[in-house]
Amino acid sequence: MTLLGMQTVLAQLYTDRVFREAFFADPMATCARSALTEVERYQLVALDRLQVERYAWSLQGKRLHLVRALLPATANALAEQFAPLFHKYCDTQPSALEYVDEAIAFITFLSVAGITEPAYMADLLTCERLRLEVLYALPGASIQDRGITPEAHPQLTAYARVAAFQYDMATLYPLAADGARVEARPDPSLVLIGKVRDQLRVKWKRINTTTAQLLRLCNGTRTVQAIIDEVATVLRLPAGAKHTFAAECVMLLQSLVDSSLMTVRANTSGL
Amino acid sequence: MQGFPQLGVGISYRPIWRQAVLAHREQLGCLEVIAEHYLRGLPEKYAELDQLRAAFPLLPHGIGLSFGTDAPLDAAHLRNIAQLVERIQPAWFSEHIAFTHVPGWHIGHLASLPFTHAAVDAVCRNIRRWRATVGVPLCLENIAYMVTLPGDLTEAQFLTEVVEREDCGLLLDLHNVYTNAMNHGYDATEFLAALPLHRVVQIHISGGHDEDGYRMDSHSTPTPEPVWELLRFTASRTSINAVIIEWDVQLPAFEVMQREVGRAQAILRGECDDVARHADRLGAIVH
Repeated sequence: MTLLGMQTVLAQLYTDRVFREAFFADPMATCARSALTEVERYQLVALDRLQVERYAWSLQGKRLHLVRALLPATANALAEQFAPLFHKYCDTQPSALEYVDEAIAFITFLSVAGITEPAYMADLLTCERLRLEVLYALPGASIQDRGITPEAHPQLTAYARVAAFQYDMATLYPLAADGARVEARPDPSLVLIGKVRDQLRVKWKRINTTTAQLLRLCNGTRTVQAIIDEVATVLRLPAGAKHTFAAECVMLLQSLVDSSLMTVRANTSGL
Repeated sequence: MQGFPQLGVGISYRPIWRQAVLAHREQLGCLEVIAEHYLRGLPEKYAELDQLRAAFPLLPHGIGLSFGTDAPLDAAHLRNIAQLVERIQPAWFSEHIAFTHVPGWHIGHLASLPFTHAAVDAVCRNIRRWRATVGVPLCLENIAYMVTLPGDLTEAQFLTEVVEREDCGLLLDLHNVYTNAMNHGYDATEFLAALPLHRVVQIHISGGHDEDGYRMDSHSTPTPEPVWELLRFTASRTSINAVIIEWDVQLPAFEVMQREVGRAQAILRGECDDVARHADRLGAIVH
């Protein structure tokens, strides 16, 4: 057997609690399931359990430290529950992930963990996930700072998301991330989450239903004109008001393009 | 070590100190950056890197290539590191004599290798793979280890074999030496004396903490006095091209890093650092 076989057993011993407990309960039997030489088996059997347990604990501590830094609002909201829950998560994901992927995987774990306090926990976890997704999104090849025209096909970039929440998360999330313990009542809201251009920072903007509808139609398949017409129809705008509405929509979309939150393609003529 | 530029004393960069390091650039000889922090392709991180590079010699420090895995270096990771090195054009790149993963399984941090000839061979094979892809000199670092693995070499013999056989620089982490000496019951200066100190290019110093009678290499406190003594010991025996102060947890105000840098600079100059000693005591009181 090669060094790699021994390293594979060591990697599991250091990170997988279930494997570790089985190993120390019956080391020879566990080693027998790996393709190791007899000498290597005896070398592994001779490992100091206290050293291995201490190292395993320190490894989880390092993973915890990285994830805590990426999930400030969750860490503050869960307080002393955060670390025990992370250790439970590690039982389900013993092999470490890249740190942003690990944070997102931990959010997924928490979202089914039945946490009821604070009441807006589900919204908070969604915020944390969306924040990481926009913060660490790679710039798309199609991002262009073009002007918005009626024929352009606007599309939100990977730097922006529109999300619906049961609580006013545009207000609550920044407070929770700063460590405030906030009591909140349900307040259904729509939020535009956008990465601040050229910065590793996210902004949260509560938007109204019409704006959310407009932005959700910006998926690259419709022209600006078609989007405005569709929303104006839903709003039953009189003909006189439609021109003003269209101008406001164009201003909004242009500001999003300028912020790299929107891209346009097939821009063929001026407005 | 000859053939490497003298870069003086710097710190392991963290974004929280970005404005401070740029404002005090004359006090720092270089900056170390964690290579993996710049591999996600984020334009903001590249902009940060370019700004730092314009102000300092940068020393990229890898934490995830896993030179000690008995398998080829991950091709995608190696390619990304090569691109980063191309962007920075550093005097050298550093990594660890350790393994962080095996195919399909990630430990998440540095794990020690058995001090065996087979492990030396595995590291050396990966050094040669590195050299086939990346065009800057490589320095390899001794790690702090918590688990004692069976082996037929001493730790000093093991490290010596790797750097001598592959003609590498040594990144000597003195807090790791101190931590290992405390935890595994050996004399740190005897250990240093057994190393090929002429191979030392770079030094890491930092502080850790004690937990249940065990020394933890947590990079969370000021450099303790015994590690300063090890720096004096090493500096009196060989030329050191760069010293980097590391701090990862509970990051302090930049002034604390400045004090650490000042004290390391005094030691490299061979000065009696009573002033630095006094400043350190004062700093401890203020901190």
